[in-house]
Amino acid sequence: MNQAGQIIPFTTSGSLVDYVDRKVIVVLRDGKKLIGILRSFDQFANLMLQYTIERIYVDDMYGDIDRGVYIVRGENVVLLGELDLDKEYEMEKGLRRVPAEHLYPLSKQRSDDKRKTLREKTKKLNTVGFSVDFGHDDLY
Amino acid sequence: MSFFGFDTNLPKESMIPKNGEYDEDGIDFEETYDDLADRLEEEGDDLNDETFGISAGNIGRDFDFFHQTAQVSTKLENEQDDTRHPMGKVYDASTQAASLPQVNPTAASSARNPEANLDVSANTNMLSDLRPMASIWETIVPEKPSVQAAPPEVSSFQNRLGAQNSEKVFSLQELEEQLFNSLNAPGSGPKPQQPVASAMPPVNPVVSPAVQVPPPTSLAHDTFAALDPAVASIGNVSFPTQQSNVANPGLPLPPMMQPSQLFANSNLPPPQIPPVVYPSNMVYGAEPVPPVPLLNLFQQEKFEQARTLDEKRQKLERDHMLMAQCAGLMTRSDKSFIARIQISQLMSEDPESEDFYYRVYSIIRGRNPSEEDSSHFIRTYLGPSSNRRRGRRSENPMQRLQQQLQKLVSSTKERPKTTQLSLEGALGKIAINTVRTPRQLLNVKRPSEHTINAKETTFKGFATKKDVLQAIEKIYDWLLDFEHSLRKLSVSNVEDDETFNQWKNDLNHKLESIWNVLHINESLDSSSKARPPFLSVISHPKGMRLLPRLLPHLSKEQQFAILSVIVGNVDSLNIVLKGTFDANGELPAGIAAEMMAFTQFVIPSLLTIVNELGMANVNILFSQLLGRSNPLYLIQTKIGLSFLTMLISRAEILKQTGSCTEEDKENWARIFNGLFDCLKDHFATVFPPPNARAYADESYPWEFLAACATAASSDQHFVLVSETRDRVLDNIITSKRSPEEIAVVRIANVNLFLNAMGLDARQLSA
Repeated sequence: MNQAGQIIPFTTSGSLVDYVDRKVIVVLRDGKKLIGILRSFDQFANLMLQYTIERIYVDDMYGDIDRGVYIVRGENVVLLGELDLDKEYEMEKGLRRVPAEHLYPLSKQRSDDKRKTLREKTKKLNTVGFSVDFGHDDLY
Repeated sequence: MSFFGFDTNLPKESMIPKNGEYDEDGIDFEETYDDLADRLEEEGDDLNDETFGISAGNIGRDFDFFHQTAQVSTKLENEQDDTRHPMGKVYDASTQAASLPQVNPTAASSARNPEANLDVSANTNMLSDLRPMASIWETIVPEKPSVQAAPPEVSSFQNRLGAQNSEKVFSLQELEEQLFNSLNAPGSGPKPQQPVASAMPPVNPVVSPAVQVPPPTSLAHDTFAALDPAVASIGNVSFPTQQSNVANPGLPLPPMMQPSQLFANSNLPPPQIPPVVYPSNMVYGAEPVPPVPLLNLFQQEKFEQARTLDEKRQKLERDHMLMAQCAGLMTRSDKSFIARIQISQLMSEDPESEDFYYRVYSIIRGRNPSEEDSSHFIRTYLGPSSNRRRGRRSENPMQRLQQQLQKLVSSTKERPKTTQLSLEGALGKIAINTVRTPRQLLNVKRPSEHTINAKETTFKGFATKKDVLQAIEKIYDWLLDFEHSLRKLSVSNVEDDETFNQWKNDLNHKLESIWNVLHINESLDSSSKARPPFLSVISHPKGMRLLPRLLPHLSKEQQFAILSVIVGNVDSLNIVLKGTFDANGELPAGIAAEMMAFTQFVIPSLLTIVNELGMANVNILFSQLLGRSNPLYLIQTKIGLSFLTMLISRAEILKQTGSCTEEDKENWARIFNGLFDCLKDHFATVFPPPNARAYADESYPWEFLAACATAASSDQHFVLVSETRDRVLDNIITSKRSPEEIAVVRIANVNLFLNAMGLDARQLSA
């Protein structure tokens, strides 16, 4: 039993039990960053987030879009991390907050560029015998 | 307000040359006498009542500057130049307040006191109004005291005037209004004021319906903000959002309020209404106001800090509230359910078949979409038992998980770990080594039968003493084996010919092996210079002991072969080579023992062989012996003498018994004579030297002499006697004096010789 009197089932390291009801940031395979409160998950790492915002980062700016409740398919999750509420300010320290609409065109441009360079890189690496692990549409 | 005609212009303005001169020395009091006292004009006293508020009852809550201050607009126009003093009026008021009591202490003070009191009360009322209103502008509340604490001097003056911070703000508002009016009036010029003008009208309707207190407070912030351009810019950027928020200033924050506010670090000041004021203030604020702005900056820093801290705190609270609101959506049973699934997937033998997605994938990919798969899916995920599972297993989840863990561990242990794996595309197998399957580093081959046999066929002689010993051992092994089987059969009854024959064959086989091992054949090659291997065997005491056991089993030919080998190589025997006495009458170390062993074991068996030899063979051997060895040397050794004695005696016996041909006899005679001639004058050397006391009573020399005597003719006798006379006499004489046993031996020795010649020791005793 932990401090909260909760029975913690013995699990492997792949368990998300400790993240439930905490504020987390999730990075998806297409590069989106979602910040929200993780409410539920399952064995495939499908997630259910509440009070989610999608944050777009471009250069030294960031913008938030409110999204509400999200269900994310586990297949698309790259990583998930708990946010320390006390240090949240440090997340935004060097950055300016701008309305997300301003960032849409910039962000789109960046991801297009990234996709292109990634494709070229993969091709080059394949010619010298490397196999690249990125999926077809991965932009993270 | 220039009562007394006081020129409120700054000294700077006085610097503007009115006479075309520019005085840089500052105020030169001599020349700046402007005779103000004479120019005093008293027309400003008309509105004193208004200004100083003698009638306190007229002061109400309704400070409607728009109307009343309009009345003094003309006055203010004059003071429009005083742009640098937004607080100028405050100071003026304060100075006026300071001066007032002087002018009219009693009346003014009495008048002022109730006024002040009333003002205080009014202000406290206003303050109390401020607080509930300020709840909307949350962060402003803590600043209120700080703002008020900071400038005590100013506030004290203000208090007396009835103007606190709010009043200061009010004066600002007043100022703003003045500006507005002035702007509306023609004669405004500067461009920056135009956007202000455009912005102002929309701002005003927004401001007016709002409660009066918030705007002033926000204005206070505005001015503070104005002094910090960075903050102002933020305010500019966030203008649209603020507008929306301003629309609902009175509503408390809903729980589901914009998360952007929740999560975003709103480092902009709380919603402020007229950011448009910034540019206007900036127009004013070409340079910050001297004494007041310093205080404002200090206040502003603290304000900022407190504001951010507060914001943080509130954000945290909001976050925690939100997190707690819907907490527990995922129950304990849900969590353990998922955990169990994860562990079972870890443990499974064939994870692919148990994985839902993989099976679906394989079905899609073209595996026979059998009925059982789909029905299985339906049963598992949609069947009646799918939920029941959930409810039942909620008891003892820990125990179950522990059990599963144990199963996992044991199954891993039992599964035989692969020691090799071959990947596609990799050449060969890749070894996986553990403690239990270590990698073999050495490759040691057992020497095979084939190689051993190959070695045996080519015998090149004994390389080392070890080889000799090994050979001896081998011979022994075979010999023992042979003797054993011989004994065995002799003990058991011979039942039939077959077993007998078998046994015989067996024995023969063994004998042959022994013979092979002896390597006799190779030594028959007389031309070979190498020392015959057999001799090495014989040289060894163990080999010597072997010979008497072995010889009886060998055939005559074999025996003769052995004998001839030995005889032919007598001189190479160690005992012969080193068998002579040295100057001290001593034999070399170990030789005596070796001689003993040889005499004990080898000589007798050789003797038996010799005693069955025919004359011809004796002749052969004898000639061989003499041919290869040096007789002179031989006779000095015991063994040599023994051999000679053996052969000579045998020959004589054969001669006497007559079982030899004339030819042999002649041959023998010839050889013997040759030997005799060789040995003439040297017969004395057969004896051990006089100082060899230990060997003084050996009989072997006498035996040799006896043998020679029998073979010798009478001439030869004479030679023998003459050469050995000293010794003989010596012996006889000493025998008389020595004790009984020794005397007997000596006499016996002598008699051996003498008897052979037909003489006797008694004859010589005289």
